[in-house]
Amino acid sequence: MKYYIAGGTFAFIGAVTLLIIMSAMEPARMESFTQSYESRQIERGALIFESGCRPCHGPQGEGTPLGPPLNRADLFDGEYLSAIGWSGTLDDFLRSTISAGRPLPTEGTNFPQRMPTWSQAFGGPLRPDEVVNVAAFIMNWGDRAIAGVQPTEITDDLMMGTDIFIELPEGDAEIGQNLAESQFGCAACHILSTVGPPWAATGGLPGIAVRGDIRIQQDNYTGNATSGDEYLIESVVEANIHVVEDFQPGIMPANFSERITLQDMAHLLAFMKTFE
Amino acid sequence: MRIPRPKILSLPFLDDIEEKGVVKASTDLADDVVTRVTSGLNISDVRSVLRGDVPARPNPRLTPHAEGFWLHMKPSYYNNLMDGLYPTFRLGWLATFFFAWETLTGLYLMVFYTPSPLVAYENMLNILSNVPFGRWMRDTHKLGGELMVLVVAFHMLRTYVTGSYKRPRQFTWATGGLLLILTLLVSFFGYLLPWDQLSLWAVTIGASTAEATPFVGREADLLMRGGPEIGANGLLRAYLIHVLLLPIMLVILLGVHYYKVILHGHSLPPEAEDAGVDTARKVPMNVRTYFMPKILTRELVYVAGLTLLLLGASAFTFGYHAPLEPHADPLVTPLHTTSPWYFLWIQGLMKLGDKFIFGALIPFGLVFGTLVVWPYIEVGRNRRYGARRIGLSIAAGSLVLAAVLTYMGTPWFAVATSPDQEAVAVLLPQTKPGPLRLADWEDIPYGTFVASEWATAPTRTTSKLLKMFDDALERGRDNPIYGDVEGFMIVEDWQTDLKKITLRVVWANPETGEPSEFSEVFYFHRNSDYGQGE
Amino acid sequence: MTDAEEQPAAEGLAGALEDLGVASPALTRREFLYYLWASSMAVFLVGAGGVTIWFALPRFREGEFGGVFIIPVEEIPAPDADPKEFAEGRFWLVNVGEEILNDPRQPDNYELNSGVRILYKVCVHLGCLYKWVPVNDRFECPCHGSKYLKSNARIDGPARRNLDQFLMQVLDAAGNVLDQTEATWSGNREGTSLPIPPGAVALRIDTGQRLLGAPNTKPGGGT
Repeated sequence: MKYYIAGGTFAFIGAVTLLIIMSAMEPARMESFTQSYESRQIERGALIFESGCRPCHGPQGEGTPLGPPLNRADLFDGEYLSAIGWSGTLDDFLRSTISAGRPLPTEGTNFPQRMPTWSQAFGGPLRPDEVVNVAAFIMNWGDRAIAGVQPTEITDDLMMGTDIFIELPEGDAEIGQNLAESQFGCAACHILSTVGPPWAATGGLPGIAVRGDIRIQQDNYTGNATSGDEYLIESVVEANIHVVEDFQPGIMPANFSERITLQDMAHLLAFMKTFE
Repeated sequence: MRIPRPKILSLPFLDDIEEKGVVKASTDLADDVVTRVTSGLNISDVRSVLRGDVPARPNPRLTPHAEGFWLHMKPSYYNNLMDGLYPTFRLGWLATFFFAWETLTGLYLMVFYTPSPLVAYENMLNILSNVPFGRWMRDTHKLGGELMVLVVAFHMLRTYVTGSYKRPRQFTWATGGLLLILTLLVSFFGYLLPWDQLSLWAVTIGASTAEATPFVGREADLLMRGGPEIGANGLLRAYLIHVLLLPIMLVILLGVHYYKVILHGHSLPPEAEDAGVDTARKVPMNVRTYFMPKILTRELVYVAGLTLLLLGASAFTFGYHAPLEPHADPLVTPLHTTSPWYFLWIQGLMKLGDKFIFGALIPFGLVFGTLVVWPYIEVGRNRRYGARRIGLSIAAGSLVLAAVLTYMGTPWFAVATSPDQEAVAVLLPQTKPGPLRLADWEDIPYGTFVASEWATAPTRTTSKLLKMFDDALERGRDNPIYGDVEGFMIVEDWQTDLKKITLRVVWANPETGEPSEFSEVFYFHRNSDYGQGE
Repeated sequence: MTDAEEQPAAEGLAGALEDLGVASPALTRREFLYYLWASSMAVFLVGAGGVTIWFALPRFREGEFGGVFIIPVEEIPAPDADPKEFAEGRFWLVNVGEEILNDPRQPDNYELNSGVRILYKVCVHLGCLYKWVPVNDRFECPCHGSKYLKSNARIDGPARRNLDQFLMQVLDAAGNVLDQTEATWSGNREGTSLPIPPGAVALRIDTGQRLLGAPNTKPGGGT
């Protein structure tokens, strides 16, 4: 019996000791979990941003002709909020805008569409926790925000349009690579991917630097290009005029003619020409 | 003759003081209080119990069993043979302990929980991040629930092996069988409450078996889910079933079960009696072990020891922690979802054939039905092992079968989607954190890495991950539609402390040369820390 | 006791009870009234149980899942194109064309015609949501690996029947029903595919009316 009594006593003493140790650790544990779930909100927000927000606000929130930049210093330093007369916090502003959209355009902008409602409460697809996640992701740009970014103005004279015979300025392949991988998102489908025709040489086909010349010779070619360069420009600004066999029409965005400037087209072309 | 003073206030204690003096009156009062609290033992009786003295005759320690509520549920003495671990292992007491443990920890959790899909998951995050001992409460409630299922199952197994279900204890066994089913159900409905992906889909799978009921399947399914799919109604229903309906039924059945144990006494080890005789009810004076103090002490040792074990099991990061997956999403089913482990055997059965026969008739009708009425089927009086070869073989066979079926219920058996998706799911599983999320954030450099070139990867972490990726793809290379398959891991700097990691599988159909790809993106934050057990 | 032995055996129910040794005394009016009371209570309990089930059974409104959905014909995918998902309605819209009809994997046991089909997006095995996997050109369930063709035919996995369909009507501009899914078909209990006739403007899909898929149990599909 004495072993039972001693054992029971030690068990309770051990339990009390554990309680004391745990009590000492709890504040740090709660803190650490808070940090980790806030980080996971950013991770999930990034995923939602990629599918829902990127098409208009750009992959890095730098803005496109369809939507204003979000990754900009004046949003995070409060300048923008005081300009529009928002009295709450930036987090509130983001959640409110994501949830309920913007029924009226901001003064001085000429974006073609209004921000739609995203929260399920207002007919959108996102649950409340997902709205919070997206806001957390946008807030995370705070300390790296790009200073002096202004909404992209659509200036007709610099835009590429659908004229594939236009004379282009000098292009830089390195800038072109940046454009392809971020702003225009070409890389997502054409590099290491098979959603669109790969740019690099694959399976007997040469890279696109040379491929254009072959394509325009083919019997089933339906476009207007007369040279390899023109073919590449045409496939950017009028993608659906000729769709390469085995690929689906309509996947390549049809609005590049309104989104890409002459200069950017030149950079992009220079980059494309590096794929021998 | 003294004339009593007229009384303004009738306080017998004051009269006592007047009569016996302060000290004697106080000790008498204390004695009286103790006697009332213990339902019949005064201070010297209690001390004699604790000292282990031989009880007086008549034994005052029997009074609490006759007059008190709590101890009337316990026998006042046991046969000496029943005093050690064998043959009961005190598993029944253990099951009761876990029931109490779950009730208590459940009450704590209810303080911070609202059964609504809008806030339930947020409540979990709050319990984990802003409630002292919140994580531990959640963990121990979950661990206790799973252990309770195990303990109740072992309790039944023990009763079966020693033949203790035989006459006159058939009804005790039947209530025990019902208690096992209730335990499974209470645990199952509790699964839904955290409202994460695991909850939603494990319970969806379980509830879908109800649809297999003939004629009223759709209605049964709708009643349980509260709608065509589990939503606000379903969560509320599961909550009410988990915290009210089933616990009330458990308490009632537990009462009946305990009453029957008192009535028939604990059955002795089979070898201690003549074959076919039950002598448990009449315990001769010379072989009695009284509940107080010996049995009571042993039961309390279980309580103390288990409290320490359960406390320790979830105290630190390395212990047991209840999983918490991303928020429930009724539109996306995660790859490799399964039902709770104690229902895997039913899933294994259902891979064999028809939903009604293998999902409803066999498990619920045949297995549970037979289990409950078994003592009325197998009526042989002899409890000796040698006389029960068939019965014991059936039990052993069923256990082996259950183990095999459980394995068949897991995703490793006959669940495979296309090898490219399986390969990505090796690094980035959808039902647990997995190697990529648990990897060292700092040790994954930016760049594009090819799975087959894992040996030349720049860091140990990337090399390890790429090797796993490549091994998984290797399994897919056997598949004739995967020609030239290659895996890429593309790591980009996406935001402050945030990396974008794309896992991409590219292959070409060897016959047509048609290229295909599958990719999945994971954003990885420096501080997301998936390894801290939640 | 000799008295009793000499008595002729009682007849009917009383006799049967007597043989069982249950009812030696005759049924009194009082006892009978108790039985009557008990049976009235039983009837009441059955009624109360029925009402309770009715009370707890969920009900559906138009536009939410379980109710009716109207889909304009412009949203129908091209024949043989990838199926289109309608998350709110929990269904996939498939347009069966030549390619699907001639798919070698399609089991022969099921008659299939070209036209539009509405597939309930929940796996008939255990209620998970199956996904469209374009690479394999089939639906795959993430939970237990059931595989289905676009047509709804099961080709692999623990599921034991084809995918379920919803009842569908083809409406013209005036709201007249031009065509509707037939619940029966000779030798095949599944719904038919509906070709879209000229003049059709919308599909009316009743998600409360589900046609269960035909049994399909063999590896590779078929019965």
